[in-house]
Amino acid sequence: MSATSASRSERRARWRDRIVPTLLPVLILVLWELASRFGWLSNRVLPEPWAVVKAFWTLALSGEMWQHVATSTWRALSGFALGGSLALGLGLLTGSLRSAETLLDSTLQMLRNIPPLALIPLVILWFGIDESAKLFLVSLGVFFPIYINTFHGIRSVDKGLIEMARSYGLTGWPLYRHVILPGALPAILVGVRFSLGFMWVILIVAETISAQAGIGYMTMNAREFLQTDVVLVGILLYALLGKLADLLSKGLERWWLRWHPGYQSAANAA
Amino acid sequence: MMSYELELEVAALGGLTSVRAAPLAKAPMRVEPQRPGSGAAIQAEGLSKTYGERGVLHDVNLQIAPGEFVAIVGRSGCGKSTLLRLIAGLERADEGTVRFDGGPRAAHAGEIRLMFQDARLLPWKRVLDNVALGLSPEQGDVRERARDALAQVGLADRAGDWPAVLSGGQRQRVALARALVHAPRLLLLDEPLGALDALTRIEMQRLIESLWQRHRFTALLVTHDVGEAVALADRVLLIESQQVALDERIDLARPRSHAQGGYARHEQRMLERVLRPAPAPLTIVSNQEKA
Repeated sequence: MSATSASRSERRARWRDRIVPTLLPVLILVLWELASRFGWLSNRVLPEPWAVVKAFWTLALSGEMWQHVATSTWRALSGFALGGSLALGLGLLTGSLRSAETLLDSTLQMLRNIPPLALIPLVILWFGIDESAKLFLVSLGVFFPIYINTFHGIRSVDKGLIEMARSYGLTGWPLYRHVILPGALPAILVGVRFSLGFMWVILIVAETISAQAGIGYMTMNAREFLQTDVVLVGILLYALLGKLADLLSKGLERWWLRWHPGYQSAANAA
Repeated sequence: MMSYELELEVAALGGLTSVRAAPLAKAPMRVEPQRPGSGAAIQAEGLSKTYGERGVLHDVNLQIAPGEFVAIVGRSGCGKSTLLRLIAGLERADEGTVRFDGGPRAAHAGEIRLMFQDARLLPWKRVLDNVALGLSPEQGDVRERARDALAQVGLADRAGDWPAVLSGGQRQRVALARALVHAPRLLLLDEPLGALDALTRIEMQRLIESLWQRHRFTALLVTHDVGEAVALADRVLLIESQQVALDERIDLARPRSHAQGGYARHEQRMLERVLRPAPAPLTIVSNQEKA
């Protein structure tokens, strides 16, 4: 009897934990909607939430939105692939070889302190305003988080494990594949998560400067015509894509680091 | 085309000469033909090692017969681990050489295996893959051999687990299986039981002894526990003031127990000897605690 009532109160507590966090956002949405309906909030400042939903719906139905999303995603991913693989390669190189570190690392650390967005004027002069400019900026933005974390990941691999593996006859590529890379992986994945967040930030700025397609273009275009609802759709899209990228990298961590005690309980619970 | 072939030939010749040179290179000890898997004869000649200003070993000479179980004891920091690491080839001696069956040690790296104080399992590989580390596929079914080695240490049912979920003793048993799977002719043990609780330690000692009796490899155990040395070894060496200060044969029947006549006497005498000339009075503590 007491057991069932305990489990019932437990269930109730679980529901409460789920519902309570959503109360505030819902309340804000309701107030916002009411404020727009009663004319306290001008449409030029913020459209009513319902209008945003409608704009989302019509843009999705016409297929226009998907085209922009596809363009932006392509830019983001190709920039990430280019900058990320370069960063990984260089990080592995400077992390593994002292000579490469002495040669390259101080230069790279110096460049790291330049915000990629500060290069926009130069980038426009170099590449004009076409795709390569955006590719360059995104690649640059994702480069440093991955580079630094790869470098430190390689350096912090347990020396005892490397010694053990060497004494078991592992050298060269097998040593790298079985010991050094997996040992550096947790740090590398932290870098990947950082740079995925950065990737969208850079892309948003790059797209609002100059573009003929993409989410940034869509929102800037809408601004010209005072379509605040479309602007908000664009912002929402960025938020959704950012969240998606984060989920993806979390998934990668769960899978690749399933040996790690820190991820094991989470993996078992899921 | 021509030059390429020529180069190949020269390389082959170079390889041949080096192979031939290995057994010929002055062999002061008789080289007995060894069947694979049996123990190796180890010789250390004039080993010296200093770290910076501090001398650790000076002109250490050592002979270990094939299949012998030798324990090295001494106070912490006396250089016993360094001696083991020199024989393992993990560190380079300032002077002196280590011979393996009368030949150079480097040619036999694949026949020497090491167990460390910490198990040093790769946390990102499951137990079975840890045991199979370094096995090449040409040597038959790798996983089958790893499974067999795991069974020998009594952990066949944990093959699919991550090392993180094993206890300390289980990790060391996996490390032992990982060493055994290579059928080493020399097994070096660097305080592998130092971090285990008393019961697990006794269990592991028995396991190591039984596997040694079965495979007849040469074993070299570094330990700070005199009792452990007396329980396992044919010979106990004491390292003191950079030298082998004592070389005592333990001729007790196996399996050994404290009830045996002579066991306690050996242990007591070794302990007295280890403790006697205290170079720095403050360092006695750790050894007394262990006893």
